[in-house]
Amino acid sequence: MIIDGLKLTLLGMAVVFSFLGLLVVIIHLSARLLKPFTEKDVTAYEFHARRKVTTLPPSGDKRKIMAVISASVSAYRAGRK
Amino acid sequence: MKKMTFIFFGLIIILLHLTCIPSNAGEEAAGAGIRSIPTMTKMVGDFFKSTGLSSFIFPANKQWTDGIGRLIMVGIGILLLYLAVHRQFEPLLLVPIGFGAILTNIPLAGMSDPGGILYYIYNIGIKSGAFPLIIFMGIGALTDFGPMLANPKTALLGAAAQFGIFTTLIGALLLSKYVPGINFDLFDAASIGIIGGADGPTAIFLASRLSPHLLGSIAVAAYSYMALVPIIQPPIMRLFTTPDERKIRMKQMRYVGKLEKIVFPLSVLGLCVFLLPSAAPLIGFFMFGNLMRECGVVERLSNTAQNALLNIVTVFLGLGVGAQMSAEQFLNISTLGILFLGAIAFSIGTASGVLMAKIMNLFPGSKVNPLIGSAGVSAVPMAARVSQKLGMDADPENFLLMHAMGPNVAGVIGSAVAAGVLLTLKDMAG
Repeated sequence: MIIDGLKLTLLGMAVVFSFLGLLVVIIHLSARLLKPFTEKDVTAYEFHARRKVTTLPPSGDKRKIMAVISASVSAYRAGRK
Repeated sequence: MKKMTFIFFGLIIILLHLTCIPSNAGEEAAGAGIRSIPTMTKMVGDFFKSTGLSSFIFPANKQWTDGIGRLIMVGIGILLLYLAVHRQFEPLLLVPIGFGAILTNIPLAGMSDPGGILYYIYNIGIKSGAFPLIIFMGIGALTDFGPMLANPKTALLGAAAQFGIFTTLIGALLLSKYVPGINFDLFDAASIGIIGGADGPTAIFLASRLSPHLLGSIAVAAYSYMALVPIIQPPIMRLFTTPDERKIRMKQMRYVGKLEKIVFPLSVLGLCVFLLPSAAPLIGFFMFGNLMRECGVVERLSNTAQNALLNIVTVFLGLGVGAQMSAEQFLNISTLGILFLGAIAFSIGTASGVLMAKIMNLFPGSKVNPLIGSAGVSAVPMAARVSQKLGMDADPENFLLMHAMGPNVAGVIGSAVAAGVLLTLKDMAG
């Protein structure tokens, strides 16, 4: 029965490696075939990322917002005392 | 006060009278099927026999597994609950499994006998193979194959880690040959070996097909060792790697397009159709769940598969597995053998993944940090987190988590393929 186990091990590992090895090849192939679509996705992604950055308030505004928040928090704390 | 004393003594006299004289009152109710009610002493005696305490001490068929054995199993159920609640070891599974083990070992309740609720849960959900597959669908809906698609060669690490499954299979056969009291056949050995896949649903599915009598022990061993991954893996990973290898930084992953992610589950299913149809239930459901996630047009179904449905089935899967933990099936030397082999399976799987990464580094191309090899044993995402932690121990600025997710998800496919190979045993046996 141990010989059966060894045979099964050989067959099993061969199938697992073949399956995942073929999968690697298929992934490479599909990446190459679908490259135009992926590039379009990347462009759209970068466009959205840029828009997000540009819609953020400029640093001067950020400082103003921080000052307003700090003042509100201070006022709230003072009110509680 | 005098009146109360009179009533009290009166009641005692009536009670004493009842304990000595069988009542004829039942004859009047002959139509209801009771001819006479026995004496009070006999009634108390019969009632004691119907208590759990009596069954634990004096089991009906004089077998210790039906008496004190059940009590031990209730203790094991409580131990599982302790590990889940206090130590947080795989609580989602160990809470229902532990409670199921307690329920199934309640004497005289017959919850796992034909007609009992656990009997139906087991037969409908586990014996049929339905629950593990539905869980696999949910896991598919939760899995992001992006890291593997971005660096496909890491899938080979997931393949190498399956070596633990097959060496454990041989280990089970060796134990069977040399240890008296252990008698594993090839089906049992295959079911035990799959513990090395570190994938609960796959282990339960294969065991329910090949060795249902070992299901409880195999599921408990699989989930216990999965919870112990952060303890089992690090020493093995350190043993097989040098400090310099642990510091290897892997290059930034590329962006993976949406269409690539949609095509992937269909490609895997295609491979399964042509190469290994016996793995189709596992891989089919896994990839169906993943397609629902990636196609982006059935968000409701994807959310249901990865949340509500997965949770509901997990509850019943746990109870069904716990129902298989009867004293007769669990309290034997085979269970000890399974627990021992489970640890071996995890260790060999971890070592194989690490060594495969080192072999890959001998070839030209971008280098792989060998620490991510250990993530090939599935156990998503725990094994990947272990790789990340050890990587950061060696170099605090080295982030391996996403790189380790590649072999981690490849390991799930790898263990499903290995299970498919082992399932062909059934066809070979006719």
